[in-house]
Amino acid sequence: MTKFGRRKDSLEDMILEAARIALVDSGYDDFDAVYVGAMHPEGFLGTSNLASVITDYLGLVPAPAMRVESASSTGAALFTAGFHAVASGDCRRVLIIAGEVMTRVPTSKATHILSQVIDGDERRHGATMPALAALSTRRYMVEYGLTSRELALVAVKNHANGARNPYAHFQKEITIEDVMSSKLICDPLRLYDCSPISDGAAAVVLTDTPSAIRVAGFGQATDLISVQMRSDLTHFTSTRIAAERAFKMAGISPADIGTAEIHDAFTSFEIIGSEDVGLFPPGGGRRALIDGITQHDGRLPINASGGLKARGHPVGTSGLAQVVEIVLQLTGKAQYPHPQGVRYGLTQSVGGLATNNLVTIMEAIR
Amino acid sequence: MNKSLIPLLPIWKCGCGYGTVVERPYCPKCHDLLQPFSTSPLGVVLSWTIIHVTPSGETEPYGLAMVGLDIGINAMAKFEHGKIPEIGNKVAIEIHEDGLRWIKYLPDTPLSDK
Repeated sequence: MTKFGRRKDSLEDMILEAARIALVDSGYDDFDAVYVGAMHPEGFLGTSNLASVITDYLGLVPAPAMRVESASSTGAALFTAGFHAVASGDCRRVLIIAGEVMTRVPTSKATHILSQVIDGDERRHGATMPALAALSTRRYMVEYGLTSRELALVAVKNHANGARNPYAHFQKEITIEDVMSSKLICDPLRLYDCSPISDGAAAVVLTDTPSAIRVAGFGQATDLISVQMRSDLTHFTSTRIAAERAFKMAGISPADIGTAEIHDAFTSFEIIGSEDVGLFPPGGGRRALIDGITQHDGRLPINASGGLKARGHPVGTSGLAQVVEIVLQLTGKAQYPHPQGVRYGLTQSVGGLATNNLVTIMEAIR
Repeated sequence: MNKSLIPLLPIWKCGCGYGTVVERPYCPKCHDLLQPFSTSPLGVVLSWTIIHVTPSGETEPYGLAMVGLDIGINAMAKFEHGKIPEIGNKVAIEIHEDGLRWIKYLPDTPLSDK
């Protein structure tokens, strides 16, 4: 994984940087296929044909290559595509790389590109990604008694974690007052409730040869594009189905999870996501946050890496970056405070406004 | 104002009972064809937000609410910044000349003091 943030390097260079780290770490340099993920390099950079370009630059021609995209869960969907290739027996070893460069365009253009992923009817009514997240957040606050100051604890926690992660976009701690005094984006969500626009790349090698980490399970599910067409405003069915599938495949329960990276594109999404995957009952994510259970030294750390909130959110990369963070934590290689001796780690990734969500469970083999 | 004067709200409905304000060809529940239908525009406010950071072109903050219609489906509607509807209160939705759904405040609709 590269350092996330506002980078001067090209998308190709960052992807190559992440790939080289994965190649050195894995000890492999030839692959049966290359899977590349990026959400919208056409819009952010005007580039295309990324899978072939990257495979060429890596010297891996004629390996088959393709690009995977599922909005902001692209990195996670990419990982499952690579998993399918190896699990099917078609490939023995695949290279999975994701990258996004978002900071070359003005913030208004980046916001416009990100807003294209939501439903057309809702967009015509002026909805944006943060606006839909805000509608969900306020309803959650009403139903479960979450206050804005309590919600700010997510940003405070994840910034504190990110401050100790050398790869994180934001490496400074913040206070509740900093969050509460930051400008309103979409009421009740403030600037510090939203993940940043970032550049960054991540890479993973998947092989059928046993190693220190095993993919124990994964699940993916879609939901209706229009939030109005769904019955539940506070929780995401797509995460719930994805989690059920992942736990069934792994043959374990949420109580077995020792660390989790949850898609906190908005601070409320960390609480909602932690409940949707089953780590806490509905409303229990708020209590766990307040009680410090989700701190890096708590009983169940969530986003010990800093999460999307502080590590940064290069949209196509984040889902794969979560996988890398869990691998680093399970192998004890993470350079930030994280739980030791954990057997199972979980990632949850949200595509669009929860229209294509994935849950992955990884197991440390000792 | 007489509530009965508020026009019915156009929706798309399936024989299985599923309905939506969003135009779609197929029912997401039973995959049958959805048909145009009209229903009561009355409902309660489930949630709202004021959009301060607006997409290109918009200069003023504006409001967006999610309304739970009496028929049992949700509908998004705009409202003017400064006229925030309280959650749980009864409102109507009407289509304005811009073709969009807007909150219509009933005579007894209280506004939030926020």
